[in-house]
Amino acid sequence: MKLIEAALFIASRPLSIDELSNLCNSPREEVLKELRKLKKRYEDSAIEIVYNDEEAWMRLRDEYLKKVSHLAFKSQISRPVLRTLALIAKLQPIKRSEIAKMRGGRAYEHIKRLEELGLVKSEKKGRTVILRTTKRFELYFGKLEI
Amino acid sequence: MIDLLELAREPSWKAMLLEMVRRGEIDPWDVDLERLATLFIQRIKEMRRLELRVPANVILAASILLRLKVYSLGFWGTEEEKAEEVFGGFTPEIPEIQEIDAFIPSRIVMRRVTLEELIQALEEVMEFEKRKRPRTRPSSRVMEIEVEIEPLDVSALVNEVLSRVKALADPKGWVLFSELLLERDAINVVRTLIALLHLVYEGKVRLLQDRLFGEIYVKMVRP
Repeated sequence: MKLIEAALFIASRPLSIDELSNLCNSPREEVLKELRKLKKRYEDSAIEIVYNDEEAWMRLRDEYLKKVSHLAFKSQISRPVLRTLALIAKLQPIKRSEIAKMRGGRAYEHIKRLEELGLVKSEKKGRTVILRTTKRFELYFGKLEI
Repeated sequence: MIDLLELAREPSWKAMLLEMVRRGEIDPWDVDLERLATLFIQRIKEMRRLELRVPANVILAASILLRLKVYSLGFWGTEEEKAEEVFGGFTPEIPEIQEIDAFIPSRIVMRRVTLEELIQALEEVMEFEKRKRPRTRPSSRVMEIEVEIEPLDVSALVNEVLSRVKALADPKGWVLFSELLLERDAINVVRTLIALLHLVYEGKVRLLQDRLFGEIYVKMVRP
């Protein structure tokens, strides 16, 4: 459990269950069991452990994040990229060209960045590209209706 | 400090430079490239005639010294082949570099974005969409406009203007365009000019204008 805790602490980003499984040299089921225990241990803490069947993440609880965010170097997602993400989340599934029409030419860079962050996935349908949020997006923001 | 600007004037400057480094007469770490660049710019400004060979050599020499510095830091390749390729068989000595105690952070944190911020970003972008003016595209529909055109008898007009030219021309056959106008409105100017152009085509008059938008001189051509 300590190795998983250390890995999640140093990464400060979601780590895949497979990554943790390789690190601990344990099967996925074992990692998920340890994550359950770890989550329980952090219940009364400013830090929380969130995970699904793909990834796990150690992060600050929202209520504390608001109070101390100014101490972090910079945001993981810049404001313009966040606006593009918000539109995709609201209008998904949506054509990439539609997003570009609304957000301008820079939208392509934003989408690329969001794909790198694993928050958005694109799917080719004929000559168009359809955008959707990912499971990581759900892990990041929680399941939401916006 | 070595005068690279003078050295660059020599035909075999590159070999000389490397030889000087090899013999220890120049230590690349003692060459202040920033100062060299400033001197170089000053020299170029002072030069009365443009001689590109020298400036180009200075830039190349400075870049060689910079690469020697980079090489000695070990950032750029350690293989001897690379050194041979750049420094012509001369492998610069790599000085021992003292380890620097640096703060190694145990965690590099980039702040995550909250759901609240995501919703706020959505509100901003929707507000912007609302404010955006709808783009109007030029219509591909052909517009039909009816314009009433007064029927014009060009032959009658040409004859009328020719008779005016004959009546108003001086003994040498010259008359001013402005004198031919019945009224100084646009339609009269256009009609008179059209008639005169017909007369030019028929070889009955010649037109002269010495400046743009200036007076037009009409000269009758005697048969």
